[in-house]
Amino acid sequence: MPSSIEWGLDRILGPIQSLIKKEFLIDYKDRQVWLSVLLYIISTNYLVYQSFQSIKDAEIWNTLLWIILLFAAFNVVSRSYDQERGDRELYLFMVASPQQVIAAKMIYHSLFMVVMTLLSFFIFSFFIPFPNAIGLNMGLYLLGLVGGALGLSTSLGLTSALAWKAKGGSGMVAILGMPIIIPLLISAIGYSEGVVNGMTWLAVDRFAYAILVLILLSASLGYLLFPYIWRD
Amino acid sequence: MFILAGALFIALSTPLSPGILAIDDVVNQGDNLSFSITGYNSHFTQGEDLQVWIQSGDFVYCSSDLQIQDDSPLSVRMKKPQPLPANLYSVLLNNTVDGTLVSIDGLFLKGEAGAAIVPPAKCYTPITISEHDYFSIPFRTILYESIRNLNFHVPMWFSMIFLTLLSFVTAILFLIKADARFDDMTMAAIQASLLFAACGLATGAFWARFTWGAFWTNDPQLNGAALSTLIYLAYFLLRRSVSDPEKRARLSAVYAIFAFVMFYIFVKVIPGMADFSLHPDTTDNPSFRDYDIEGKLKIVFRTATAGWIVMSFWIFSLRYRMLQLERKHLDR
Repeated sequence: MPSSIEWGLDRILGPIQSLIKKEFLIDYKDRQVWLSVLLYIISTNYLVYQSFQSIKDAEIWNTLLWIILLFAAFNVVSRSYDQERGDRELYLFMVASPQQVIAAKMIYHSLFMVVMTLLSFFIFSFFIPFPNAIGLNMGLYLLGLVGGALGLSTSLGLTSALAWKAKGGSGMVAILGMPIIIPLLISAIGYSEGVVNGMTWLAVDRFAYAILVLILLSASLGYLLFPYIWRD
Repeated sequence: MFILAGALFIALSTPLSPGILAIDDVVNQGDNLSFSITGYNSHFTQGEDLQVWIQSGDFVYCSSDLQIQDDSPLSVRMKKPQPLPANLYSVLLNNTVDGTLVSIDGLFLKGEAGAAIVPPAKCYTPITISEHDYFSIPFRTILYESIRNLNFHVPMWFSMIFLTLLSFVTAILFLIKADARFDDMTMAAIQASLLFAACGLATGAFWARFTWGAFWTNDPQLNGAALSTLIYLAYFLLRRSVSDPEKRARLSAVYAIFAFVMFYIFVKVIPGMADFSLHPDTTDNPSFRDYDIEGKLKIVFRTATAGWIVMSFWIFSLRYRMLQLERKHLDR
């Protein structure tokens, strides 16, 4: 007989785990979402390569990468409710609480976004070498990329749920999400610009804390407010 | 309403304190130095004991042979005891009506051969309290008369923050109580806040053109203001795209809460994090408090702020009552 605390945690986390697994399996079976995001990343990177050939300024390199990532995030997150239509949606909310659904969606899409971000970083560096590779603190830079990716996916999590219920499609995600994403993008670009300019952690930590605060805020707001959205 | 009208009347009608607008026609030849001082609201010839001296750090040089030709611009000729080093000099001026007026670094002199720094000499008596002690607004270079905009531009943003806070609270109340009145309140507060945002942007743009040289600058607070306006415009779009009234109210309340938290981060946290800002009292910039030595500005400013906030609440309540009437009309 398990203790009551274990049982309680299991009851909350168990469904989230299976929901994440469900998201993964559906995407794995379908592969349409993965392939479309991948195609977006590769083609945009190639387009940037064709238009710039090489970039000598580290700040421009960094900003371009972040803009690619921003739209990749819109691509990833605006698909998050594509499968929840009609009966499937009804069934989903019969077996799980809305908080579990949003938590699972946010965690799955954050992981997805982190993978896509790192992939995009490597493809971008493959086409256009980083201008100042020797002076770059790779650990700090990757930390910024991962933090920014987590922030992008959590900030857009709630707006994509709103757009899904407003039946506005991916255009609605962009309209509602674009102004909301800007503080995160400013912080993320500020952080990684500091890192590519050779600054240490102490010079960029305020941006890192801002990103952390934004992630926590948007995640907890999503968790608190989603129960009011899902009902029709 | 009357408080606001009174405060704004005072803000627009009280004269600026006297000050120095410009130093022109500098002639620096031999042992003669002459320049003209253009005053603003000043009474150069009415006052007695007119003194003019120039100053640079510890170096003070009084005019031994002062010749006044006109009132405005005031023509000053002075004899120099020795060649002056290249520097920016502040021009100071004293009389019994205006008190001591300063033009900080208003005079640039090219260096001369044999220039040496002389120790400060006690050759002037600053008049701190002058005869004119009537109510006036501080005189600042660059700002000049536009300092009055302080009573319009700044309270606009205070009112907008007040109204968005109101929309945040009513949106939370709507989600808890599910009462359509709160949805109307949120809508009314956001509409009124956009009106104030537009006024704030307009007054700000004029002020920026006058003092910083452009209508729009890349300032963190401007970015925050513009983007938060976009957020609230997106709120209307969200409302338009949902047809079911109950669902529309729920979704837009959720967005209003989310938007307010992000708005607060835009306006408060992000500008505080920036390295550089043109706005006063941010990063290392001086605040208006530093200009307002006698606290005269503060009285008018606080009254105007209170008045504008009451005004914003009034506009909000008008809009709210309109929405209520529309709802009643639809229900019938």
